[in-house]
Amino acid sequence: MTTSEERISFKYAVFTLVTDDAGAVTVPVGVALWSTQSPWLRFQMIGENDRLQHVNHNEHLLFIRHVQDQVEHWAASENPPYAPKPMKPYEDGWWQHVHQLLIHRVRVSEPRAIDCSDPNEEFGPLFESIVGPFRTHRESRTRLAGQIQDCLGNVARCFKARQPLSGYGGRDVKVLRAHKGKFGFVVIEGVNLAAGQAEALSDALVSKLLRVKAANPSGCEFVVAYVSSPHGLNGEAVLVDWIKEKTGARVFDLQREREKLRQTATNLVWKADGQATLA
Amino acid sequence: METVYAYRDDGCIAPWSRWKPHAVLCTESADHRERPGIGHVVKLAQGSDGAAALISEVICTRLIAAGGLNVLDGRFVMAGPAFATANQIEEGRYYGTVRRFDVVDGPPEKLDVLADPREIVDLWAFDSWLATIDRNTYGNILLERADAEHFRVIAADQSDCFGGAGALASGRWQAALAKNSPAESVAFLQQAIFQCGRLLALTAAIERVEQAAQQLDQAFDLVPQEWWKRAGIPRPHEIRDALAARARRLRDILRVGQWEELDDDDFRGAYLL
Repeated sequence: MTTSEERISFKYAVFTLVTDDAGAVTVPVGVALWSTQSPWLRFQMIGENDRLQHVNHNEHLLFIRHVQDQVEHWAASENPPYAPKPMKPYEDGWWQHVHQLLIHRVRVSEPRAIDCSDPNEEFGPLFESIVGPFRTHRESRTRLAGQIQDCLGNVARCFKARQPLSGYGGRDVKVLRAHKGKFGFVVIEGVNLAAGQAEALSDALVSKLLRVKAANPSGCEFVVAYVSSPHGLNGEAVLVDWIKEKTGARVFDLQREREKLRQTATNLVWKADGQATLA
Repeated sequence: METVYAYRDDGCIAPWSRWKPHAVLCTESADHRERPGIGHVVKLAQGSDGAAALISEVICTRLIAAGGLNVLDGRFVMAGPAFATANQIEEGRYYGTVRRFDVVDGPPEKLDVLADPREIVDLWAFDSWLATIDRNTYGNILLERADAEHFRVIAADQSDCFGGAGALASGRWQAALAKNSPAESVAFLQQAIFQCGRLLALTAAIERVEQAAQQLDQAFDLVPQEWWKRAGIPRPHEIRDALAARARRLRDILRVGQWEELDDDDFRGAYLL
């Protein structure tokens, strides 16, 4: 049975780099996401600033750039080599064919299914969760802080960035954003659960919030915004539960729960200031 | 050329290509005592056109290498009775190259990714000599790393020289080698010729072909007799002689005269158009 709001389906494929002479070791270096019905296509491969374990820029980036140019060229011409007929780059057949063409240093997987609802929002996290380029802590935090600020809108102004709060044993804890009201304070933190290091990042976040909580057992509210992989591909659901259970934080998906996050932050600011909350 | 023995077929790796090469693990001994062996890409080509493709590979790869160009490491691959039966192919000798994972498929998209554009000019001269019909086809040039920014060119597929494997098997090779037309090449060939010094580059390329042509006998001697039979070619020396004659006409085939008349301004104008 079909409905008027028939769901648009998406597929994705993963570019990998062969890093050894025997062809046995491969590292994900790119992702393509497309929908035939939309039609919609985006693909991205690692660039100069992305660092990956086992990928040596001096040795490997040349190959990645070459294949990226080739795929872009084929997509523009809609006619990859040896194609039995003209094909659109947002068709599964196109990617199946490219999968068969790339047989040396850089390859691409066969098309795979993904339950994607907003490709523009989900492409970035999909790339992060599959390719997982290493970013410095500073880079990741800056990126995340920007996303959270964007999501908070006007209420962002109530929060001071990189605010030091007193923590366990009197040692200060620097949080992403905090609002100090007359009757308590609100802390906003963020974590990228689509990243390869999601587990370590969430453990560090829990520890940080517990240190704040230890020094401020009452009047302290936590809000955590997280970047998720599309439909939990990275297995982050358990990490979200862990953060909630251990810290009592209100936890929101930065892509799918933007409105809820903004509303909750606003209400908590009002509460901390001693005003009535919004309905 | 070294002979290896097909041990394990890992399947077709380029189902889109004409000869559908297989990834095959091959050993140095017929009894496969050092199995599973080393990965090769093997053309298990059948029929007269298939045999002609193997002949073309062996002769032309040898000649291109004799001219100092980069080629893949070629091997005769013996398919024993069990391997042949399982694969539904004739028992006997085939052609393969050592499988490499440190390359990508060309042709190169632009000139500035090449460490030495002269390689493209030389390859064009060789292809024009050998009447190669498909150098610009995906995968017939492979690219290996020269440095962080540049590739070296590898002439990776020589199965369609002599006007194509079909022409070689059917006798149409005579017309193909008699024609004074140059081979196809990459889109930026003219730019490469200019960058390498135009006439200087062409003259050097022709010299390399002439040097390689001195090894025609050795190249033809590599071909197993059974391949000539399977391809239905009774007098291989006629092909060798036609190639020798074509090498002597290469200046005309490459239209070197046209390049003598051009100066840099002409080129810039033509290129901008």
